[in-house]
Amino acid sequence: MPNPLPNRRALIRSLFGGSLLMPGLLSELLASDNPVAPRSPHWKPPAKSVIFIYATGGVSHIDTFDPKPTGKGRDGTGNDKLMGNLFGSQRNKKCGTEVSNIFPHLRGVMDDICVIRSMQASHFDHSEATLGMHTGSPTFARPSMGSWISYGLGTFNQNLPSFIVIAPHLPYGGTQVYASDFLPAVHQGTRVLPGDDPIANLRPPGISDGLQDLEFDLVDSLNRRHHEARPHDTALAARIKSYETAFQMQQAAPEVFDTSAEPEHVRRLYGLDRKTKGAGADFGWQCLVARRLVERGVRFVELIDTGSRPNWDSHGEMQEHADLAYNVDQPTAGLITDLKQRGMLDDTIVLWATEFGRTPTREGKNGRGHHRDCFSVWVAGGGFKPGHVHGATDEIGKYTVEDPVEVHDLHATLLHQLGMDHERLTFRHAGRDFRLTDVHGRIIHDILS
Amino acid sequence: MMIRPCVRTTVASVLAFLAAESAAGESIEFERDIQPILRAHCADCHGEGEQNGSINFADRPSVFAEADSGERAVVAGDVGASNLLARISTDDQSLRMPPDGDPLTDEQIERLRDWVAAGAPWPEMREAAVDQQPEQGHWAFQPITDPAPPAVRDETWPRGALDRFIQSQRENAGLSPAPDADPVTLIRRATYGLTGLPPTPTEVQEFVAAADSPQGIEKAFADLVDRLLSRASYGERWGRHWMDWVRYADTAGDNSDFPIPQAYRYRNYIIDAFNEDLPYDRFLTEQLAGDLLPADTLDQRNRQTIATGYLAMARRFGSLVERYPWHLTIEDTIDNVGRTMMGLTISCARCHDHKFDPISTRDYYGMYGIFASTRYPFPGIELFQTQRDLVPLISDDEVAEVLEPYREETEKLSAELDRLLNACDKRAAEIAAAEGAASIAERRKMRDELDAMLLKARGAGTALANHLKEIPPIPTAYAVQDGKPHDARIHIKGEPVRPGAEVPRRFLDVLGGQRVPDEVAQSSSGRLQLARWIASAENPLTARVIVNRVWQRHFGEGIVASSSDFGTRGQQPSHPQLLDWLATQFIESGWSIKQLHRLIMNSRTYRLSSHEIDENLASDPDNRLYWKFSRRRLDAEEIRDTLLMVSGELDFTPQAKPYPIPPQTEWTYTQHHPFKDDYPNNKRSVYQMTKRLTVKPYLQTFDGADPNVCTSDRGQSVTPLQALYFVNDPFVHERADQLATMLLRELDDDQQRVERLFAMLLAREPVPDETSLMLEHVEAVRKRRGEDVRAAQQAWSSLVRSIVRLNEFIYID
Repeated sequence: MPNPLPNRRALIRSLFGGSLLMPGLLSELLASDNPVAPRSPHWKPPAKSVIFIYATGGVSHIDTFDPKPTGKGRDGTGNDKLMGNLFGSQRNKKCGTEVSNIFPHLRGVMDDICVIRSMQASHFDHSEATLGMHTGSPTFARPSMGSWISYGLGTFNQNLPSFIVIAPHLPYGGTQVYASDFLPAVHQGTRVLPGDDPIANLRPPGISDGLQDLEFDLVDSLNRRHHEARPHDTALAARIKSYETAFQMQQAAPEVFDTSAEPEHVRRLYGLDRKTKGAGADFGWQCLVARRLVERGVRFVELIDTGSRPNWDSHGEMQEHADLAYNVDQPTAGLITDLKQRGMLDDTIVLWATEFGRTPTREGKNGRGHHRDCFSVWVAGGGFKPGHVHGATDEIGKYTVEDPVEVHDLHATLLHQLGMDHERLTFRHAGRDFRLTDVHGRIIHDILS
Repeated sequence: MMIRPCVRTTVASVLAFLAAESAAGESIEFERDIQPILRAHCADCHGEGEQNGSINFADRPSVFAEADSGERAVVAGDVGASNLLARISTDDQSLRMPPDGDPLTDEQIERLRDWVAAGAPWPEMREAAVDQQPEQGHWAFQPITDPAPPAVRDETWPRGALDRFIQSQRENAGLSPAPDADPVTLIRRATYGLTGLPPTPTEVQEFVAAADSPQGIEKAFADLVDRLLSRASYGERWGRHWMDWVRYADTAGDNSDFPIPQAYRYRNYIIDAFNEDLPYDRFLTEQLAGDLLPADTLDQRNRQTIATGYLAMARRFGSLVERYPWHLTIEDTIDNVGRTMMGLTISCARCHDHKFDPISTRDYYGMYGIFASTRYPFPGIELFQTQRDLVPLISDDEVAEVLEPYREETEKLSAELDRLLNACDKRAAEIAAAEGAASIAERRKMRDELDAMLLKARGAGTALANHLKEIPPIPTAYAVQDGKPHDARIHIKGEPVRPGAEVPRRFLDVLGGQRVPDEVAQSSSGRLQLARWIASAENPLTARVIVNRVWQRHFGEGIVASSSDFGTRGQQPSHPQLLDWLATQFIESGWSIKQLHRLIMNSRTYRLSSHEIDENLASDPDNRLYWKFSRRRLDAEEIRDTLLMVSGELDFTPQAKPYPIPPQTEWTYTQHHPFKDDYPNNKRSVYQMTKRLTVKPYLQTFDGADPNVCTSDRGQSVTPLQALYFVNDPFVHERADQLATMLLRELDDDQQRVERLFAMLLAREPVPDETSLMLEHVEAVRKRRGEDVRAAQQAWSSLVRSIVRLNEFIYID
């Protein structure tokens, strides 16, 4: 029996990514093509969509979600360079999770959030650790988490990409952070920019406007005639269909990104009524659009708050953390509240992560260095344990003392909640079956409810 | 891995057993007292299946030999030197064996110790137990054969030997071939295939006329292939294929993505090599070791030096001069040499023996030593903002003249940096060895100490970089030279701070295991030897891999579908005899790629139409038996270059100069502000700048090459984002406007305009009702635009945009 052409598989997958076919039908189409076939979920999963919030630059765990009290160092003078949480902290009244005062809104929804305080970074530098968090590999180019999930599960909405990245600026690692790499191109992240032109080529340029219907008709009739003479070529059929989808995307996509029709109380919830400036100023819009996208059936949405500069990389002045937190705190908390009110939080995972933590010792005038031995991330919804804290660090936030969690573990657990076994979600490339979790990863059952 | 029959115990049991006595005077029998412990607790990872660290407790010699760590598991009679005992009894969790589960009991450890002390008696086993390793019998490792073309039933069909191989398998499967393609289809297919550009209307006309002449299509097509092969655009097209495989880029890929202003020289070397039909074995040798080949002139020396840009092109990582991960750059080199040139995935063996192919960690470090003895150019990095160790392209005297005033200071600062870096490496290894047994406080202290040393090295780096920036620039190549020749030590589990056994520089065992001769090894890296081993007619992989790659880019699918993996996990060849025949022909032709194109393209198989045959679709829907030509989508470069060409805007001249990247004295690239500049022009796509960290969205949308790894073949995905590109992208609209203006300016008659448009974009004439459809569209737009003076221009532009959206335009039949 000759081997089937990868082209056909790639094609069926590209249809799948464009969601012209439902996952059930797809798995039938591809069943004979294992082991590269994407799978329907391995079991009925608690979650079906992901909103991944990425905080660029390395957020200090000590000043945010793992506050340490030693404000003036061990001896109270600050001379030993040891520096605790600079902003004070309080506990959420219901669950007791302690959060720094620069995140008052998120503290208010901590009873919906599971914090992991024992994350281990894959590298000590930005680009590598950023890639590590996104792809599992700090060095070599690999598909992004969103691409893997798109590949594994497809998407619900025919008129929108399956993996959308809303990023005002590119983070460290550039386009690699949302690239599909060896997975088919249809699974790559589609980057969206805040502003009038969120997705490239959604509108006709200049004076050629108003002719599309004529052009679509002409192209369609000629393409169908061409196809009639080559009736078995599924690529030709798919490409005809892709124009219909593109046509619909032009209508559907601008509507999703236009938040003006949202009622005032919702806009306020996301802090859109506030004046924000500097890095992360558009984050309210990003969060609101994320909800609208998931609501319309997009599988994986990533929000990147800032670019490679300026961001959370506060080497010289920790006050930068407070300014950034002001921009992102209320929108992020608003997103969780909004999802919950709409009943969407149950099957939507909200993951908040950064590349590494910051040192317990002072650097420069009033800053902190990179710290890979421990940092904090959090997860809400999608069957993760609400109001829970997992893992612990020592009294100064330097080492993990309880339940260390690797990036691969986080990825494995995320896939698990989406109904996929991280050891079975594979793609054959260059002679071996690649996984998001490489040869690592264990599911952290303690953080699941 | 395959399970091999366990025959050793039965062999052993018929042999005389040896016994020893324990310290307590009890006798120890290997089979009764020792072997069961090893089997139960060690053999999973150090047995027949996996031989981690090169230790196999089912293979006596390996237990007494030097393991990858550089230690010996067992030294007969020497309890202190036997690392087995140390590893089973240590308190250090990270070192203790077995790594999972309960440690061995005190009694078991005692028994093993007694056994070692008593001279570690182990019954000799007969060699009969040595099985043939199944992987070594793998087809791709067998010598290339020269099979005779098979007999076929229909003797009128084949045009040559190649066709017979295809026909014979097709006939056996009971499939009939598609009819031959018509001349218009053929010239479009061949012109795109060899040059990446469409044929002009005149070329199509002339070819159709020649095909109609008494000499017939045979001669006309052979002439066409020769003409296309002689065009500069051929090298640009096939050079681009090579660039896909060697992951060419104009930036280094470190986290600031430093630009490489000299990279273009290597790109142009590739293009020239294809145009000159440089013999492929020579092409490989120059890229691996051109600097070590004799050269009669400075020009020749420079060309061969520039060729080693291939090795220099390996990816860079990180941002710190004091922790520069050279081992990853070397891994990237070995990975690419393996995949691109030999279809092997070697780099798995950096951390452990290859799980599926017969490639060991020792193989990897045998090659590693060759590249570790090579001096790579340094492209600059966040904390060292200048290039270093590039190779001058002017005479030694001229170089000396420029550098002399700076030489002493350069040497002093370089020596200081090297001294500090070496001290850091040494200390890091010591710490790695001591860390397991150290307390947290001790560990902290050691790391702090190392950090201080690293910081000092960074300072020395900055001093050197600042000094280097003051030296006036000279013409250089981003190329390699020989460094200090030395053998590498195995990095245990791939970690450079854990050096193990030293491995002599050599080639892969499965391909012969040749060693760099001692006298060469003392004075050279051994790269030239490696190049000869790879670019050898005796190497079973090299010729097969390249003929398969060329085949794959013509037919869309390789004879071996996994064109970068000929290992045991790759695909089997669909036509193994044809593959060998092609490889043999290729070698006999003097490794001529152009001759290979002629061989393939002048076959009847290449010239089949893409017409479907219903009966064939059932049994061979994916055309693995080549009963038709597989339709393919234009790739990213072809689409862009075609749009520019038909609108009269394509600049055909090569990019013979560096991009206007700022001078090094102005470099301040960091991971916060990486190099992101672009210098777009209207030249062919192959001359556009390629960056490793910021890939252009256009290339991502249309399955462009990944500049970070070997891209075996281009995807042919179909997505709505591609459709949106054709519908709304300003580039498409601007080209359409240009072409519309041209049509209106050069032709007066609407029907002629339609004909010209069809000829340019589809290489054919419109049928009558197509013409009327086109004219209706033009009229409809004109009407809609009413009095607008630009109505005609807009109407024709709209028609152009529609035609470039057609499947007939974007697919090649």
